[in-house]
Amino acid sequence: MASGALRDRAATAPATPEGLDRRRFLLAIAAAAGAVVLTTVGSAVTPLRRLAVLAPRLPDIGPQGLPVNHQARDVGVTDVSGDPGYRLRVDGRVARPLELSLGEVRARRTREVRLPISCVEGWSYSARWRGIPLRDLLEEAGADRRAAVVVRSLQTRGPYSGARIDGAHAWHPDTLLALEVNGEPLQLDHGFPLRLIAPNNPGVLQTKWVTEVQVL
Amino acid sequence: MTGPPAQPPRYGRLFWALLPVGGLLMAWGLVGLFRDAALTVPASWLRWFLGGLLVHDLLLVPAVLAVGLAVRRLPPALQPPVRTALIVSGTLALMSLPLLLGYGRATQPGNASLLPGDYPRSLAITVGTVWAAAAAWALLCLLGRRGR
Repeated sequence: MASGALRDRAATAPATPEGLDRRRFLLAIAAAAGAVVLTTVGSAVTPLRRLAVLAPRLPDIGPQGLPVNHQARDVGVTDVSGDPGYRLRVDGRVARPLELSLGEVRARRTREVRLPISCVEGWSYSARWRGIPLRDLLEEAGADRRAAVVVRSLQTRGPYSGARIDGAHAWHPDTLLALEVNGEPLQLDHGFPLRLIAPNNPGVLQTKWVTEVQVL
Repeated sequence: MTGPPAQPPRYGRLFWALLPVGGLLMAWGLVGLFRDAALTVPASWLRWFLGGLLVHDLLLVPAVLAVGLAVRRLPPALQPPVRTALIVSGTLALMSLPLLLGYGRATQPGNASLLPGDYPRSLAITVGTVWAAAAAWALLCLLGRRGR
């Protein structure tokens, strides 16, 4: 019988009353893993954020109540708020390329969505974003709905200076070029003047400082 | 330790079938490491890959063995709580090391969202809680033994 064999093995196992037997050892490992989870998981699970005392980022700490992974100065972006030369271009395979000044961008119809920045480094936090739906721009430029889109940044350094999203994603009504976060204009470190905000997009691909939308 | 005498391992068909699969996966990883060198920084990868092994074998394991020898001198009733507390607090301390050393602060000066916590204090509180629980457990063990 299996249980008999187990009992025999238990009887012949060396007795170590002073150590941890296998069950207690496994429970200790589980306790260690549990302690690590408990002190970090709040950086992704907002209701537990006060427990995240050993997390490298806290969901609501940063400019405008949202963490920043890369500041503008880390990737060579300068403030274009006073720069009349800033343009948002919609180009590539489009019928009518667009070139919009910041004023023209701001004059457009906006929409508000609630979406998280979900960083691949492990933190995640939701915010209210207001911006122009990317589909409005694509429609006006006469892009094909199935065509993938590359959103490019003003940033000159760093490997993630753009994001490629497929057609269905680009035309989703919640996919925005955001102008505001939580009711305020985006600060420079959050991607002023425009930041891509798309559902189900990892944080590193929510491209900041957007200047070009290229239809492939 | 008793057991059957060690025999040279015999590899079955599954081993030989999976060997090229594993080899190909490793080769694919290496190709990615060098093809995307701008992202992976092979020199840094090598430092972590070899450095991790060296730190584990030359520092961590001897330290754990030394602590294990020291713990053996404790009264038997205290050993389970002390060993458990060492495993939990050691894990917490190890994982807090980059926070305590402030990794990333130098490359991103002025980023308020980076490492915002008071990590020495947090670690002291969490490890203190672990040892308080272990002390309560040890007390229960001692009382139980005396009562018997």
